[in-house]
Amino acid sequence: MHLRKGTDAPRSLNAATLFGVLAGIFTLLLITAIALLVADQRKLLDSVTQLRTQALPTSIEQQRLARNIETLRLEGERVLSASTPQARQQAMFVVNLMASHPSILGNPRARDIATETELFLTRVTRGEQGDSAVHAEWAQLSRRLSLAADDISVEAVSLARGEVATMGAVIEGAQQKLYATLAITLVFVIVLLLLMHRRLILPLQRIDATLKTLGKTAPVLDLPPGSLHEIKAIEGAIGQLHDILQKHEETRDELERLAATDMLTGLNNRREFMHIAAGEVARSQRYGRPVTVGLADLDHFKRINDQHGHAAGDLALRAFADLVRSTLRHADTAGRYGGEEFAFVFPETTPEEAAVLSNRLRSRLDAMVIALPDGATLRMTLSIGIADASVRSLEEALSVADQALYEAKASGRNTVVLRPMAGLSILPPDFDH
Amino acid sequence: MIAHAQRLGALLGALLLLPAAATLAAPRELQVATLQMTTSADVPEARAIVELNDALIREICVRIAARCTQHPLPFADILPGIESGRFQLGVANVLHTPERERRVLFSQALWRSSSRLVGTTASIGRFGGEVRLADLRGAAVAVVKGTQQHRAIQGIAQAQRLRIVETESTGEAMALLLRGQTDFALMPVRSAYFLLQSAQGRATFTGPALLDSGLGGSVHAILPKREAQLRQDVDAALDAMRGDGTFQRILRRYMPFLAD
Repeated sequence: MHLRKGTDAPRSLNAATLFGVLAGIFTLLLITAIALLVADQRKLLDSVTQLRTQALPTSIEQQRLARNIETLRLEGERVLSASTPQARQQAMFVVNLMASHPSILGNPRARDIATETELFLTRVTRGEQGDSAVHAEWAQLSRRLSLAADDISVEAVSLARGEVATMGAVIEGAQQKLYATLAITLVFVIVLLLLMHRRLILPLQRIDATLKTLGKTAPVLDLPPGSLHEIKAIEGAIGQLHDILQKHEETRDELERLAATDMLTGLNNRREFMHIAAGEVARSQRYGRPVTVGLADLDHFKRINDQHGHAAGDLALRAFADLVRSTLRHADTAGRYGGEEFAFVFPETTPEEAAVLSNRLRSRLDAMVIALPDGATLRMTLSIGIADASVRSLEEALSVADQALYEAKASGRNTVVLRPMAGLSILPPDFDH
Repeated sequence: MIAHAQRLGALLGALLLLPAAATLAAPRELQVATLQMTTSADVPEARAIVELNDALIREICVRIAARCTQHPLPFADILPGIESGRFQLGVANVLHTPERERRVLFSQALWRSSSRLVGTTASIGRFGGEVRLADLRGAAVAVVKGTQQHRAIQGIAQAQRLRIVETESTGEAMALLLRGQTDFALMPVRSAYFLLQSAQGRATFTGPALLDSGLGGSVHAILPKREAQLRQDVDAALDAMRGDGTFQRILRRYMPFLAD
């Protein structure tokens, strides 16, 4: 597999596990926050209930008590200041009523001072109290009644205010918890988005980009290993797919090569040669450039097969092919045309220049000694026909070259024959000197 | 033809709906038990006891959209009348007690009250000056029949050799006291306040105010046990009356002070 896969790659995480753990942590935090908020809400409701059922009623009762004490004090003033016995008696009845009121009797401080006041005023109405002491004692009682009323009134306000302050503190706490909950949610969302971006979106984008180039030849698939198990699995699959495609590509190339190559000599086979040569001829003719083709035939090759066997013949053909590859230029194309017959195309080359090249090949073969496995040696010669292809079709040029080859054979072999546009030119064996 | 049929259908529908609409619009009828006024207490100050209750009843009935018929009764007949359902509302200075709670429903508190002995100057002097109920021996005490005062006296009468003089109303009890037919009367302080106005100094409170043994506490309107919804309505009316000051103004109309 060509997928880059380091041995120190981080351990992959399962996406469901990762997001499950995150969701679990968040849910836990959220539940805790909600539980705290619910607790605060309960506290608030308790405070409201406390305020409604106890603090406020008690506060109202205290205010009424303060008012009753003040009424008692005012009626006491009326008892002392009454101008008629009837008015004094009427005021005294109110004093009696106030001193008997359950609100006053239920408060020890109020009860004591109310009882003391009632007894004092009763003594006054009955004339049992000396005039000189009345006003001084009443001034003291009146002051104590006023203070008691004030204190009880203040207590009533404080009672409600304390409960309201408690509610305020609870609301403030709840508000802070709410902010904390919102912050937790925000952090979770950000972390989730970052994780999704880094662990999911980026790997998926890389995978997408890789998939787009997968069909193209990419020798090594450069996918950094993802940290999530699922992403890693996809990347692995893509790597495998890439390997398969690469193998297919190589196989296809090999098949193409095999289809274009002559198995014995390794040169282009006739079909491939024709394909390449047609392209070269067409290109040269399009740009008005010279191009030349040649046909060559090993002289008396049948004798080699007959005298040394087909294996020796094959060896001779391979040796000739090697010579062709080492002698011709890189831009030249050679192909096995059939049996012991070979074809060449020389781009950017005039027939005369091609004849020089062909003659160099011919002379090198003429000088070459091929050693056979049985210790024997053999030598070969070559006849070549050259034709200009810059003004005619490939088929016509090859036909002309074939005629030149025929001429070469007819003229005694081991020679190069150039057939120009008109006439025939037989090159001497030392042409390349 | 079809139009005629539609008009006829609409007319029939309206006729069918009329009784239901009338039922919805009609105020509910309430029989209200209240305190009976005695002839002997027919003085302006004494009338205030029942007039205060009458004013409260009228205001409550207006607030709950009810047509109320008042039935003045002796106190002793009021609790049984409410308990039986003969009356749907009772406004009669009824003190709250656990025993009564089992028999009837109580509205929210109207005010609070305690009880006190009332005596004439002569009777008070005869029994040694400032008289305490717990120390009273061999006296005749007038109480309204069926009240908490009656129950309390009954509880100590034998041990303290007290003679109970049962009356139908506080006015009657005061009248008996002023005529010298009893030594003392035990009654709610608020009722005594009204009655003492007309006694012209011949009677007065004696001894401390009493709260224990059910002699003091909160005073309520009462309703039959099955009238829970009506109680809610009455309580809502009382809340509204306190909220807009109507309750306080009614009390001040009959008393120069608020002592709720």
